Amino acid sequence: MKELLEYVARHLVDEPDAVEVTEVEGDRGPVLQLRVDPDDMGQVIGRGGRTARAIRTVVKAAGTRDSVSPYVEIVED
Amino acid sequence: MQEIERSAASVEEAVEAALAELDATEQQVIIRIVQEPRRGVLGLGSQPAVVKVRLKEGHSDVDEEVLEEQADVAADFLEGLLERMGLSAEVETNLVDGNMYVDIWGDEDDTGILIGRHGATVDALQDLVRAVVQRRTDERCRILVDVEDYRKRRRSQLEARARDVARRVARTGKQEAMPPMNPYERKIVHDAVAAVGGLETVSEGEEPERRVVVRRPR
Repeated sequence: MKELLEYVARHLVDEPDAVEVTEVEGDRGPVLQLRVDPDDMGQVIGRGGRTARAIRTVVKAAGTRDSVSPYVEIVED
Repeated sequence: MQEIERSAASVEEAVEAALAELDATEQQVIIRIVQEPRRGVLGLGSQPAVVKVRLKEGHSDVDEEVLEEQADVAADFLEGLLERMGLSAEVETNLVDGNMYVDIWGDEDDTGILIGRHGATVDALQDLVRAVVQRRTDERCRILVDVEDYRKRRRSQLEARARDVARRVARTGKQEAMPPMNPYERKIVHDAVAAVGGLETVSEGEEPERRVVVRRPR
């Protein structure tokens, strides 16, 4: 799942080397924290949050079969 | 040429809503302000802003070569994505009536996951593909992502339903509202009714309850 999110994020940004995904355990289950270059924030969020929503939907779909649905958190440092 | 009318509290919001529905930018359309908004006193005499927005001629004639190039980028991205989702599926690109489709085919179990509830996942795949292609090619991407022809089947269903409603409205003169749909589906309905002719369509309500109303011109 981590690899999937990294793959998607690297295709969306101008600085793929700055993409970082960390798996943490949240109150309600697994959370994937996504960090990108500050200048690339807009690229992964998209107009009106559209790209971020699409990322979450696809990650959730990928977890369907194993009944895991990690939440994707986009972290601003 | 298709023209849509939208109303909102301000001209800006109305234009924004129309652009979202047409999936266009301000540069690609002609905007006409039909009515300026008015605030009114104590809620009396207030009126919304109304705009008519129409795509400029030639806007839809995207060069086939550009589409082919975008489709290649899209297919590469999707193949890598499916692999990382742990799904086995085939990706192919097809140009149908000027629309570039990136089609995904596979086992029923896998493609069910890729379509999602009411097509939510196939819509998300399309959003991602468009974002990736746009970044890579610096050009607006209008590629359609389809899974097992879900989008095409849904399109023909919607077109048939829109034509039925249009004929009924033409006969009875009574306006009818279609069920709530997303902007892409509403556009299919607008176009199908326009092809029947003699009627007008407007979108009413707020997302996700927004629906197309078919009526005789006033």
